[in-house]
Amino acid sequence: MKPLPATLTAPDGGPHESDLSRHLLLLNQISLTMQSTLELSRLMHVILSACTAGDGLGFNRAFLALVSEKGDELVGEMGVGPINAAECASIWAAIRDQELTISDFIERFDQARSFQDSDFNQMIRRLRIPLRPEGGVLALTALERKPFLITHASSDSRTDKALIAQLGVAELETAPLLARDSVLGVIVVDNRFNQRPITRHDRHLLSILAGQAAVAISNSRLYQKVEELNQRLEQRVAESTADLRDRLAELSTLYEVQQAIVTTLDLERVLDLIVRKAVEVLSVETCSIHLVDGERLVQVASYRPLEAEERGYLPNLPALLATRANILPPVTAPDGRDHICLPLRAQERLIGVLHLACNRCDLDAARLSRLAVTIANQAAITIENARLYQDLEEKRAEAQRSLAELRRTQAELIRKERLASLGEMAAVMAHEIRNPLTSIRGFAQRIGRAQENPKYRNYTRIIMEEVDRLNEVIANVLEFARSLEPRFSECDLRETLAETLTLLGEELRAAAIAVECRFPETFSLLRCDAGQLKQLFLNMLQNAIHAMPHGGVLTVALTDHPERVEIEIADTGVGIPADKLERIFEPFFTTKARGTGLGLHLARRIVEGHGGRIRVTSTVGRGTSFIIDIPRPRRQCPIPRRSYRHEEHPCGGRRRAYPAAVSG
Amino acid sequence: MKSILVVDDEEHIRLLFQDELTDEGYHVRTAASAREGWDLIAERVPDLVILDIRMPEQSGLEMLEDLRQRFPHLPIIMCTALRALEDDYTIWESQVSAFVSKPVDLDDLIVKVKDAIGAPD
Repeated sequence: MKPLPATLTAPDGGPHESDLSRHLLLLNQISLTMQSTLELSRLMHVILSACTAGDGLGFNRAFLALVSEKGDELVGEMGVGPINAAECASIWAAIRDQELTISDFIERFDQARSFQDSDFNQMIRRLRIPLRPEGGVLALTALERKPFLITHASSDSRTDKALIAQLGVAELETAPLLARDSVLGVIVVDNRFNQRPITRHDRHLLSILAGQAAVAISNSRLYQKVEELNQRLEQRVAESTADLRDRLAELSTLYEVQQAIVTTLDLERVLDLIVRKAVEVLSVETCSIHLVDGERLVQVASYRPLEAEERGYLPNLPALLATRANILPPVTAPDGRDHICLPLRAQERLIGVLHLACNRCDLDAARLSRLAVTIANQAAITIENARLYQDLEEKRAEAQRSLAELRRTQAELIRKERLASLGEMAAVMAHEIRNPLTSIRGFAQRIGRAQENPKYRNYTRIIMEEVDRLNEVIANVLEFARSLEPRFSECDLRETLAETLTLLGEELRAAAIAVECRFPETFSLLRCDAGQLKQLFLNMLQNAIHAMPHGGVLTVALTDHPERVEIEIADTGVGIPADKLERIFEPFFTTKARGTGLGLHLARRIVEGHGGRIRVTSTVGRGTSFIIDIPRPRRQCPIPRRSYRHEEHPCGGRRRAYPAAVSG
Repeated sequence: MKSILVVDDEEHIRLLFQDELTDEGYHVRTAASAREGWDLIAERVPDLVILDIRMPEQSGLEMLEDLRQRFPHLPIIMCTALRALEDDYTIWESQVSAFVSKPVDLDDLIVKVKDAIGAPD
């Protein structure tokens, strides 16, 4: 901006031609400067500087008062001017020397705002004038929307005497700040220090300046309003962004749950995940899911175990069935916890309830409700999906079972056919052999009776004994053929073992054998051929007894694994040499003086018939241990189809209490 | 003298039983089949029949049924080679005096005969 020639208007000089053109230029420049700033306090300073600057309008002092927001009073905003005549003179001198322009003033305002601390500015800022005719000349300026020149302030009836006293002037000029038909305030100037009279020319310039100032102030205020609006908008945006971020987090949590559901159809795991996520996302203390099972609700998942009194806050089934609400009103417990329940529905049908408990909920009700309802919906869908999947699985398993059943039946038929022929053959063989045996034995018996010579009598006794031995072999073969027909039923192996031990009680006592039984306290019934297994145990136990002719310890241990059952029968007997150990399951192989060699072969056949296997370890002189493994049929899916059978044992399997051990 | 009919398809067993029971003092007749047995019964109804179960043509069990219909109180001892399968014959138990298993112990046979019909006179 081109600096204006710095001339100080003579204190008593009137306007000259050169002054007029200079002032017009000045006003133009002031107008441009005012347009360059929108900050109100800076703008006011520009206006007042323009009024007081030596190259400006050249008044000694100037101040601004603006109409309050309510419009009922004028409020002093800013005053510019030296403290006394000396400072006034020095300023003018300085201005002249430095050739300061309006823009210099503005720079000075930016550099040092010390003028704000001046007494004059402080006084002006305390100024409050009611906007009523009795408010004095300032009020009149605003009310009548015209400038006033007061030449004898102390005696003029239109002035507020207190204000005049404070200002300490006789003459002052006012001008209204008018913009778009409204009064923004007033501007007041005086020449307190050099006492220069205010000329018509001065008044004219001031009114032009006031007009420009009013427009600038109006603009500034509009700008400020826009700024405020902008800020409010920005705040809203920030809030919305934060909200969006929260919702995004919620969504990602829900997505996580969804993903888990997609990737796993194991209902138990998904329900567990839902309650954990619910606690995490909703900042609640616990979460549990209860499903409808007939006439009652059964808990299927919980973040932590519910206490008895907490269950009291679950709604009853009729109440749940009656409501259409997605979320029930919270109930506050005496301990201060809030209990919130959300019905779970699948295709409009009530399937359960999601329960939340929180000490002090960090979430607002709307967010809690929104999220909790979403999670509840998610849970309902999950449960329904898992059930559908389970139905499908069951049908598939059923089909598979039917197929397996068919195969088994076929195998069974073939086997029965074979067995029938085996039985038939055995019967024929028995008949064909036993008839001659009868003759041999009978005639030997008769010869023996008639024989006087003890040597020959002994021979006939031997013949009869050998016949009896042959007969035993046949009996075993017949028994073997008969025992191969399995008859399956659910049985408690502890009972089977105990019964077998009871059968052998006499033999055990006679051989001075101590029995150590290790049976589990509970045993899930095993589907097996109890008769065959009894035969198996009998064979094994008899072998053990035979291995301990001089007494010892017989250990019978039963272990119930989820997938299989293990039976160990161990003796402290003579043991089996390693070279014979691998042959003991072969038919007709025996280590005993008297034995058919079929016992262990039969044992292995029975175990294999149950899909199991039998192992043996033995040390000569230390004893022998047989371990029989029988697999359990694969368990069913732990979650029942439409209802949950039993809370404690969702895996099913009947269990019976049983004494810890059976003594032998 | 008490009369015993032995029905068995095995020649040696017929001989064994005949000698043993004759020595014991009974009057013994033998038949190799059910048909022969019926012929001898037609001549004279015995005091006891010892009947083998497994025989060609009519089996011992079939003959037993017919005998029961005609002579409800006739003592009968069944003789079986299928000792291990005797469970299968439990339904007949109430209808017979005793079962003897092959190979037969002759002392056991005599005890059962005496239980059924008493001493030979």
